[in-house]
Amino acid sequence: MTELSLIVNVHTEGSTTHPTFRSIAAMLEHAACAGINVEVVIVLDRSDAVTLKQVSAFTRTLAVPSIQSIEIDLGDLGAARMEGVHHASADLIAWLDADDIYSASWLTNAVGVLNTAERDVVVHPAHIVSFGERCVRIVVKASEGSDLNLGIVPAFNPWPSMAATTRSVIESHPFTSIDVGRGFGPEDWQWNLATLGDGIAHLVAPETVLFYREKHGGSLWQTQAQRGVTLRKTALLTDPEWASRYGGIVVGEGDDITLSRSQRFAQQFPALTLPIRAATKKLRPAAQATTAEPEVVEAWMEQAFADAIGFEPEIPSLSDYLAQARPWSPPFDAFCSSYWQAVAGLGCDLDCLFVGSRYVEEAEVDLINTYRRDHPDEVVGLWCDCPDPEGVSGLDPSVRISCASIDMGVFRYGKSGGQRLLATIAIQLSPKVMHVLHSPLGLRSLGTYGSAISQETQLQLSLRPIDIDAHGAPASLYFDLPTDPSIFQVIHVASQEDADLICVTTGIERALLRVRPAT
Amino acid sequence: MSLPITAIVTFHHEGALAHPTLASVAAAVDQAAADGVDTEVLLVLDRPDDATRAMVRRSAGLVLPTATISESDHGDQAGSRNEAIAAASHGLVALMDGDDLMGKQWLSGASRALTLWGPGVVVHPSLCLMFRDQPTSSPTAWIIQDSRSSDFNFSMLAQQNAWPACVALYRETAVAVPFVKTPNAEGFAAEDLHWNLTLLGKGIHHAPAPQTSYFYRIRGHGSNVRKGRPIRPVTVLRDPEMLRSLGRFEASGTTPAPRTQAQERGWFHRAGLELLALSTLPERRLIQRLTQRRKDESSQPDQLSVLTEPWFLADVDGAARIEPRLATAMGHNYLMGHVTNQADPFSDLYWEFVDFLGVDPQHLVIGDDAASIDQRAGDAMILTSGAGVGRAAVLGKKLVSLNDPHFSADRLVALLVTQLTPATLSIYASSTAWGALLRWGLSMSQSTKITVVIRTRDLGDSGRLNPVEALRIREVADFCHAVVTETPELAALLTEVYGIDEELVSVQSVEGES
Repeated sequence: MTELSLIVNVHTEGSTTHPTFRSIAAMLEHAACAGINVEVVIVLDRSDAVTLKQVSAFTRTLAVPSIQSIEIDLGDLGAARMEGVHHASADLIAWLDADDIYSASWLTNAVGVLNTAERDVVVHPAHIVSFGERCVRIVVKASEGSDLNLGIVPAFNPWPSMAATTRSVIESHPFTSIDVGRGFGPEDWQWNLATLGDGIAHLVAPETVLFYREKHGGSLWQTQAQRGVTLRKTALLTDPEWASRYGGIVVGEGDDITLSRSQRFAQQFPALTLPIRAATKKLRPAAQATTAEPEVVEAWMEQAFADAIGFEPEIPSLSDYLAQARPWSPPFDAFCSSYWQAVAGLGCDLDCLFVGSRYVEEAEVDLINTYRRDHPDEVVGLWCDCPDPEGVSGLDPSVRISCASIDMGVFRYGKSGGQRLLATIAIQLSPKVMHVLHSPLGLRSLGTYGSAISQETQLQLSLRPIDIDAHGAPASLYFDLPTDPSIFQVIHVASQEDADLICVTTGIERALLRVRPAT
Repeated sequence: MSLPITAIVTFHHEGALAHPTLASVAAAVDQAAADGVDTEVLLVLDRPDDATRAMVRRSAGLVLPTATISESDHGDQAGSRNEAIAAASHGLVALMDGDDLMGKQWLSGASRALTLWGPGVVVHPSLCLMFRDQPTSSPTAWIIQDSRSSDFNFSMLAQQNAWPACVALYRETAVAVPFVKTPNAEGFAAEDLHWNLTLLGKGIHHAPAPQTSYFYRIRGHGSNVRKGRPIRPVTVLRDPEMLRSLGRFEASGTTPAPRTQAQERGWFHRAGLELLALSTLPERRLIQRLTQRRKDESSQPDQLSVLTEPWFLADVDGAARIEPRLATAMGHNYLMGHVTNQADPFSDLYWEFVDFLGVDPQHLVIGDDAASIDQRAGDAMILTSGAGVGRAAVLGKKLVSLNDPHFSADRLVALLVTQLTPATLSIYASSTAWGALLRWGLSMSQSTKITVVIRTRDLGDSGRLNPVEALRIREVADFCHAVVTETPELAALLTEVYGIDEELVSVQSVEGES
C-alpha cells in the first residue's frame, strides 16, 4: 500500500531542477530502504520547454512504483499544490519545490514523526541552509517543546513552505491561491497560521535539512515583498488570549531599539547614511568573537552536507556556515509587542480606526471627538506610531487608544517594519473605516499596502492645512508621499483653496476631496 | 521666426504620474505660444493599463484639451515613438517619456535652436535634473554637453551615455534614423543610447538647446531591468576613425588615482551641501559660495554656476508648482552628476582593445593566465590578470592584459564582445569573463559562438569548479555553443552533477604545456 505521496511543484526552474531531482532520487531510495512506499506526483504549472525536458528525463530514471506528471495551466502555487493533492492516493502527503536540495533522510524521518504523533501535526525539516545569493543556516523550532516564542508569528514565518502532513489536515485546510495582485501573501505563512490556529502542531523531523536556493537576482518572494504583500485576516492573529499572552513581549531585549551614535547621526542627516555606512564598514571588527562553546557537528549533518554538495556544488561547505554565528531570527520584539498590544487594546470589533503619529493636533482630536459624537453606537479607536503621543489627553474617554511600543517612524523600523505593522493591524482588525490623520507612516503604509487594506476597509485621509514655503511652493504630507488616490473613499482637506491646489497639482478627481467644516 | 514643433509623449504604466507630465507640457505649450512657436501635442498610449489610460484622458482634458491621444500595441518604446513621428504634422518633433517633466522653455527653445542650426544636429535640454520619489533624496544635476564643442572628447562615449532620452529634431532626421526595437529576449539595453550613437555615426551632432531644462524622474524600483546592459553593435563604437573625424578624441593617458565608492557616487559632496544647507545663510548664496570654492580648488570649468542662473531657477519654480517633490530641492541640495568631458581609464582601455583586436576578429580567447591557453587556440587573447604576460608576448599574438581594478572589468569584456562581435569566443577560468557571461551572456551570444573551457586544473574539492562563478555554469549553458573539457571524467561530472546537456560537452586536449 502506498504510504506517502510526494508532490513536486515545478514551474520554470529549468536547469536547476537537475540537482533537485537527483536529491529527490536519493530521498526515495532512503525511504525505500526504510520500507516506506512512496508515490511521486509531479505538477508542472506553465512549465517551459527546458523544464519539461529536464523533468521528463528524470521521471524515466526514478525507481518508484508510481509516478505521475500532471501539466496544468493555473500559474498559481497554492492551486497547483491542491491539484497534486487531488491526484495523490496516500494518506500521508509531503510537498516540496523543484529548485531546492533535500537531505536523503527527509521523507523517512518525516513519516516517522507523522506515524508516532498522536494527533494531527505538520512536519518540517529541522534545519534550513540557504545558498546562492545569501548563505545562512537556520535551526527550525517546533511549535511545541522548543524555546520558540509563538508571539513572533505576525512578524515572522517560523517554518518553511515545504512540509509533510496527513491528508485530513490538508482537506480541512486547503492551500489558498496567492493573490499578489491584490497585495496578499505569502501563502505558506498563511497556511502555517491557519493550521496552528486550529491546534495543529508544527514539528520538525530530526536529522533533516532543507538546502534552500536563494536565486541570484531575487526570488519570487522577494519580488512580492518589494511590491508589499501582507497576511490575510486570520483567526489566530486576532485571538484575544494570544494578544494578552504576547502583548507583554519585552522590548529592548538585545539591541532592539538603542541606536548607535552613527545611526542617530544618520537619522539627523539622511544624506550621510551611505557614507557613514561605507566608512564604518571598514572600522567594524570582522566578526564578534563568540563566547559560546564551538558547536558540536554531528556525523549525520556532515553526511547531509557532503551529499548535498555532490548534487549541487554551489552549496558552500559546512565549515563556512559554522564560521558565521547568526541569531535565529531578526529581532521582531517591538513589532510583535506593538501588534499584540493593538489587538488587546483596540479589540476586534472596531468600526473606525484613526491613525496618528507623535503629535496629534487639537483639530485632529476635535475630528475624532466629533466622529465619536456623531456615531454613538460605533466602536472608535486611535493607533499612534509612537509611544506616549502628545495631545491625546483631550480625547473622549470612550475612544480606545493603542500605541506602538517604540517610535516606528525611526530609522530602524520606519521604512518597512512600521509600514507592515500598521498594515497587519488594519487587515487583521479590519475596521469598517480606517482614517489616517497626519501620519507619514500611515501614508507610506497605504502607499505600499493600500490596495490590500481597502478590500475590507474604507480608507479616509485627513490633511492638515497646506503650507506655502518661502519660494511659494506648496508643502503637504500628501505631496511628499503620493499615494494612489483610487484607494481612498474620501480625502478631507482644510479649505476650498487646499482642495483646488491638490486637484491642480495631482490631477485627482474633485469629488474625492471634502472640505472639513471649520471648528 | 522659429519652426513649429510637435511634442510626442509616450505612456505605458505611469498611472497618476502622467498628470504632472501633462501639466508641464501644457506650461511649455503656453510658453511656446507666447514666443510665437506653433505646437502640436501627440500622446501615445502603448499597451497602457487602465489607470494610465484614465489618468491621461482626464488630465489631458483638464490641461491639454487640444492634444491628440492615440493608442498603440507595440509593447516597445521604439515602435510607438516611430509611429508617432510618422503621424506628426510639424517639421520638428520633440520626444519625452510619460513620467518626466519638461521645463517650460523646452519646446520654444528647442524650436529656436533647431531653426538656427538646421537638420545637422539634434538638440537636448541643456540641463537635466534627475529626482527621486523619496522627498529626502537630493536631485542630481546633469549638464548636457555639446558634441560640436572643441572640448568634447569623443573617446568617453565608450564609458557613458552623454545625452538623455529627451530630444528634439527635424522630423525628416527621425524618419531617416528610426528607433530600433530591442526585444528583451536578446539581452540588450534599451534603444535610446544606441540611437544617440547611431545618429553620431551618420555625422549628426548632439547639442543642448540653450536655457532649456528637463526633470527626469528616477523611480524607486521596478522601472529598469535593462539598466547596465550592453547595447547592440553600433558604428561609432566599432570605428574609432569615424569618431576621430568628428572632433577631439583623446585618451586620458594616465590612470587617475583610484576613487572610493563614496567619491564615485558623490556622497560627500552631497552630504556637504546638506550640512551647509542647515546653516542660516540664504540658500542661493550657498550655491554661489560652493561654486566659487570649487572654481578655486580645481581647474575644471565652473559648471555649478548654471544652477544659480535666473532662467533655471524660474524653470525649477515652475516645475515645483507642478511636481511638489521638486520644491524640497529648490535652492540647495543639488548633487552634481555627470561631468562628461573627463577621459577615463575605462574608455582608454576600450579603445586600446579596439585597436589591438580589430573589428570582427575570428577567434577571441579570454583567460586569466597566458601559460594555460593553447598556443594554437586563436588569434586574439585577453588576459584578465598579469600572470604569464612575458611568455604570451613571445607567442606573437595580439594580447592585452586587463589588470586594472578601478573599473568594472566584466562590463568592459561584455562591451568588447558585443561591439567587436568575434565569430567565436573561448572562455577559460577567468572570474572576469565568467562574471560578464553570467550577467550579460545573452547579449554576448547574439553574434558570437561562445565556448566555455573547463580544465582538470579548474576542478577544486568535492567536484566544485573554479572560479566560483563557474559553479553557476548551468545558467550559461543555454546560450553557450559548446563546453570543452579535457577528460571524459570531467565531461561526466559536467553532465551528471551540473546537468549540462551531453550534446554540448566535448573532450579535447586543451592544455598547451602538458
